[in-house]
Amino acid sequence: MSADRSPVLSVNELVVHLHSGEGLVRAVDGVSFDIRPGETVGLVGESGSGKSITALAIMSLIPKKNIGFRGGRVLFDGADLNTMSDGEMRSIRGNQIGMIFQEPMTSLNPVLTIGRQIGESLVRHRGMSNREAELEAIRLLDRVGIPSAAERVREYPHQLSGGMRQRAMIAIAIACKPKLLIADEPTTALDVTIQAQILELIDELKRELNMGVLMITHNFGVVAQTANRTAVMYAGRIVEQAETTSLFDGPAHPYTAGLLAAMPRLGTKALAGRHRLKEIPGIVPRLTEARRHCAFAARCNHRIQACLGAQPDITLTATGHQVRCFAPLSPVGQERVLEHGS
Amino acid sequence: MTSEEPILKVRGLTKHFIVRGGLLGREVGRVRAVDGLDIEVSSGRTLGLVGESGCGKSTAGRLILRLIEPDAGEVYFEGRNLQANSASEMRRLRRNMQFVFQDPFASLNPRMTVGEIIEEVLIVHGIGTREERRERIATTLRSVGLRPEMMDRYPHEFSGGQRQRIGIARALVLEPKLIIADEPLSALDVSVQASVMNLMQDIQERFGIAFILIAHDLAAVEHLSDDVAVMYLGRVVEMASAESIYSEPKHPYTRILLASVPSLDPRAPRNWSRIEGEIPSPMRPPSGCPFHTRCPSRMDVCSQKKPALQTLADGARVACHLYGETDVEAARQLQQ
Repeated sequence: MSADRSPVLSVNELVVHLHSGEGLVRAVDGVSFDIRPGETVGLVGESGSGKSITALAIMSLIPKKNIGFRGGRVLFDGADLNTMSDGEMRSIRGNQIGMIFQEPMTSLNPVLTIGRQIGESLVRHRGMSNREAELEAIRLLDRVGIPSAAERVREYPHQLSGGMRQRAMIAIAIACKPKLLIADEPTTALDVTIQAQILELIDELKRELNMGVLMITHNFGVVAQTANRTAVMYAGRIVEQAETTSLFDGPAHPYTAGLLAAMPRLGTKALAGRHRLKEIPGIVPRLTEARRHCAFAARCNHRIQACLGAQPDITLTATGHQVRCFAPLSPVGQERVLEHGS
Repeated sequence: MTSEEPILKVRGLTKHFIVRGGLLGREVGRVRAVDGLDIEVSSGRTLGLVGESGCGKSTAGRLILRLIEPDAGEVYFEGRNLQANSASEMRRLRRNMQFVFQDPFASLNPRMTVGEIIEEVLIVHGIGTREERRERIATTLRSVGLRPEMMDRYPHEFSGGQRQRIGIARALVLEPKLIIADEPLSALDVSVQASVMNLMQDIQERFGIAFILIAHDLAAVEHLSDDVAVMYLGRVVEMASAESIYSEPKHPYTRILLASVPSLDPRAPRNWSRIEGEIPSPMRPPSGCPFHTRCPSRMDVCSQKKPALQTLADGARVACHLYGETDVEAARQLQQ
């Protein structure tokens, strides 16, 4: 992607610690990434990795009473979102930053028509009249592929199918032509044929509006097909970040490599026959304890002595991957690059 | 497909749910959840049942075990017609046919220890003394990769993957010949899915269990299944060996379904969204072929005549007018 354009979103050492029944949870623990206009960044990880909390923190949508500690900077178009008042944040959300969530039924207001919900931000942020807003809502519904938009605009969310509700939510998100779209598991609740349609739609809109897109998902296929860059999260940190093709070609972090090897690949049965998958032993660590070692060390089959002594910093591999690992894998054959220390 | 006598044979299985509405609760429509299902599973093999939501795959699993009573059709287990059995006989037969549920948390009673949860099914079927049952539970826990002393713990003390192992242990303890697993992986993270898939393969190899795997994850189904049936609006539209269906899909719906899965190869060409529209309501299925409203290859005949599931030359079965009588005739001659 064109590196000359300055990022629309720049997240720098973001830290979010949340209160919970079991004490402070280090949900996000030093996350940094940039998104440029027209670029999709995939944030991928398993449940509890901190990817959704990262998104909520960017948009200041975590209730203040739940936050134990918050640090780092989130620059949107050069302005620090962390220092903004609630009012300033509201004028950015739904206007310059659009959002799509997993379950449109819980994010849409059940007692307002689809048209009203699209029109709301146009009236508030763009100063349109109600009539203008309704006409624009019809145009947007048509654009996101909802048939008979002029009638649908007067319907309520429950009258639409799951796929159509997600399209309606996208229409709301892009109504004010945002510079950044944050999509948190936008297709997880959808069937695979509908997922393909929705991902295609997000991609088209990204190009039309030259938006930056943050695609948060647990599905590696979704990031492989949509993201220019991919960041893999584990236990509150980005453990590897690279150009998507390079990340899938030659993962440098043993966790990324382990996940990719654990997944069955479509269309390989005829060649591979019946075979076992490679497992990642153990389970995700609890995030309540402060850590003085690599969070993945206990499950890692490439562990060296250094991994138990400190948390790894970000290093840059020869293939341009940012990786938090004392013993990153080489791109070919996935052998260990560094042989010292074990 | 193997020629040996299948352990389970399903013929014309049908269930229409009546939808009631209004003050008087009058019938306002019928959901044709399962509409004439024909499948079979051989001993020690896995049949994957795939399709999108509303295709009837979960209802089909419940109908086979008579957790729901079908409206029509027959289910033969080891050659015996299950529909002809009384409730008490059915309970006895059910020992051989067990169910594994999707959500390993919701399906385990939080107030019972793991040992009690598993022992319950042994007690229901009147198996063993208390000592024998404990012994059997310990053995079963070992075979699903858990430690026997875990039987005294409660479900909340286990991770999602371990809970699914407990769900599998509960099915396995009766030494069934068939396990129907409904979305056993979808509540689990990727790194955990691999170990549960390996476990399913291991117990199949060790105990010769036949599986029906109901799932929407097409890659997982390919990995685990010997044969695959693709369902659309309550019917099987294609059924073949996993190798054949994934390398040479025949039904236009199967092709689109497979092309819609986002590939793990970022360089793979995107063949997405070639499908029009959404799945029609099973309350108002289209005339003729139920897929014709979304099919890129539709012909005039497709809206008028429902295609029968026919066997092609390579043994694959497909319900589609693209495969005319000449294909079927060729298949018949090849078989002779």
